[in-house]
Amino acid sequence: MKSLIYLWKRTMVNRIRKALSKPVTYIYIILGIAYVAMILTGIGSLVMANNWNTPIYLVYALSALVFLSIPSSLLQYAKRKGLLFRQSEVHFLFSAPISPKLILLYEQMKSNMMNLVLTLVVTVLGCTLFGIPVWKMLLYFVLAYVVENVLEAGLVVVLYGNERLKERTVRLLCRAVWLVVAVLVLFAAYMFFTQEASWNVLPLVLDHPFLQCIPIIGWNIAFIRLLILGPTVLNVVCTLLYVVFALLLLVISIRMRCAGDYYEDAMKFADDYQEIMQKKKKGETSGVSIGKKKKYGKAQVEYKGSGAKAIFYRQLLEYKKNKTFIFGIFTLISLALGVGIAIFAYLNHLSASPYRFFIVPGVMAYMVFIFTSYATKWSKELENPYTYLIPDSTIRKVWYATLIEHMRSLVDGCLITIPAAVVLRLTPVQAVLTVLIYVCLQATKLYFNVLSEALLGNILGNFGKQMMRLLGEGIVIMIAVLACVAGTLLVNVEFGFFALILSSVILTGLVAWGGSIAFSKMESLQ
Amino acid sequence: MLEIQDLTKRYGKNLAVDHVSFTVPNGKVGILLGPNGAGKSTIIKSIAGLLRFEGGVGIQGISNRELEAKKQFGYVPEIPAMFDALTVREHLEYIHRAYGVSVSEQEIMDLLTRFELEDKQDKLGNELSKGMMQKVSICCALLIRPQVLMLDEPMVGLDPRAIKELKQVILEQREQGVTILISTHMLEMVKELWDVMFVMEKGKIIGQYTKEEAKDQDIEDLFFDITGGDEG
Repeated sequence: MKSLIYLWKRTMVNRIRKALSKPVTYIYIILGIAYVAMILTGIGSLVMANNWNTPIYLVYALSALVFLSIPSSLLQYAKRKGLLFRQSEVHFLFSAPISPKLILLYEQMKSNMMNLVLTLVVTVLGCTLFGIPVWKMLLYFVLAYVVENVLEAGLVVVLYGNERLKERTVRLLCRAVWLVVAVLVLFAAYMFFTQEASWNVLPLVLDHPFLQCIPIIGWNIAFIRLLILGPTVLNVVCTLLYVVFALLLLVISIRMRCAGDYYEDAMKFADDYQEIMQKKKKGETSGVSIGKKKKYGKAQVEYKGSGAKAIFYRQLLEYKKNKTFIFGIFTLISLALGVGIAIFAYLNHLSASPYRFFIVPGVMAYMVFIFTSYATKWSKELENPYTYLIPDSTIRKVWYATLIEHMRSLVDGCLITIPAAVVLRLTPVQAVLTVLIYVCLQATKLYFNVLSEALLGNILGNFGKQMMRLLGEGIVIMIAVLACVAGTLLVNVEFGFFALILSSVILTGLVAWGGSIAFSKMESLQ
Repeated sequence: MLEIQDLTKRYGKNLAVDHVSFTVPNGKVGILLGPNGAGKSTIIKSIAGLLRFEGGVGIQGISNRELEAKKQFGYVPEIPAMFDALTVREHLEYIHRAYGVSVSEQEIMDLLTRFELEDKQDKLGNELSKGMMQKVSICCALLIRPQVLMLDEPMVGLDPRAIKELKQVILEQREQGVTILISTHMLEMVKELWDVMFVMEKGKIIGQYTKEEAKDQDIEDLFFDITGGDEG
């Protein structure tokens, strides 16, 4: 136990010390405080505006949290997936003479730090916003945190560390949890259709005595109601059941034998998690899921040309091996967006609007600006030594490493534009120009990514790069919009679009040229 | 002594290790050889208690799942993984506490100096190269004064001086009666170290020699005789 406390303490001290030595941490802290203040102010305004500033509404909010957290915890622990073990823990904890149960509790406590903060926030909000006496909220803070942690620790050891539960039993347990969730949903649906067909059904559901009788989930809600609203026969009985259940779990978990059978699952999870984290660090988010390897088919490609062109053909080969070729989740999102704009335009009779030409480009600009870029094959080129060794100019390397991305943008642009163009009655020329605008916007985004990689590398992390990209894109979009407005006012809409595209292409070209530094030497990434 | 009794491990329907039994006596160095996919890593991880398996693993006569066995067991995995936010020195301090061994400041310094880590003591885990991580991992395993020491591909990533030092350490540990099991592909590296050799293929032990049985025969010749020419 002492070694685990030492481990945790030193890890925290070193992390804090390291973070405080970086100037960017102070920016994050300021942004974090501003963000939390904004969220809390938002919650406060929402609560006050709707007259939710009474204890019962806090109980409703906490009940909703219980619904969200307990079933998912039960399912995850039963499948031995709820705790995040790192590879270093596999190396240094699993082979050390430390009780496997203690290791489980250590992991649970680590992941539970957020819970402590949340309980503290709830306590403060309870006193300040919901008018609950301080002593009641303090009691809630202590008891809720203690009992809920005892319960959670018990669940972790009994489910995660259990070496007698057979796969069939675990499956049955998971089904039972789903059954409880299904019963709750059916109950809410029943209330909706029989009592109140509006959002007002929620208080009716959450106040219903049946809810508090549901094992674990309902008992937890009863416990919260007892602490915040005061005793009733029902919530006292259900709270007793809850506390007894938590203590029972505690006793079982102490007496239960656990020699570390879970190490194998935890080790596999740690490896998979590490892989996912590395991919996410590089910005690969699409098609990434724990424990699943991507499957590739067979394909061939004929290399036409040499030098940097080889990068393009190699990427093409990789995409051809993909089941969905160059298409992915973003293709579907683009189609949905196009159809969405079309439906919105149809319902609001926007085809008659004089601004109809700008609706699709406006939505496109918003989407490109707001959505974080998904990493694609171009970013992987920067990790490949051959990218730097290929005897060709850096600007050609940038172009051929990103060419397929422009093709993808073209397809996505068509999917967004065509449905909307039909409803908005755009001419074919206007539709083509709109698609080209999308390609330009995506290219700007992509080349700003290249440029931020080249200039910032790992200095400011992903957040810094994201900020730089947003700033750069914002400037390009602003200049392009000004060019578009001037072109439209001086000549016509087509010319305005053309001015927009031309200005975007020039600026994007400049950014691409700047970003080509990233392809000059591998060192720029360090 | 390290005893493996009828160890069997399945990954789903795939039989990775098939009823393997062997023993490395006290004060002897055993080497586990075999082509890729032979099941060596599975055996190593099973001995380290990281995998579920059928059969038994005994460390100094105690089941490897018992904490008492773990106290006497040092393990150097093939791919070391450090705690990102712990310094080299703090890794050793953690091991010292986890295993409850009494180690003097001088002993720690000697170990660090031996593996050229004395000036890296304050480096964090995520600032170390693969070779340095391997050295820290070896120091941690030695710090506990193990009775049984298991090293999985320990030479990979080490510089020539560290390899030389590690070989010396292994010989010293053997002299002190420590049981050692090394899994490796680098036959050349363990030539002068081994006492007993286990050759694996397709999840089974297909050959076993002691140094006495081998007489002056070269380790590579022995290996290729058994495997029929496959490289280890």
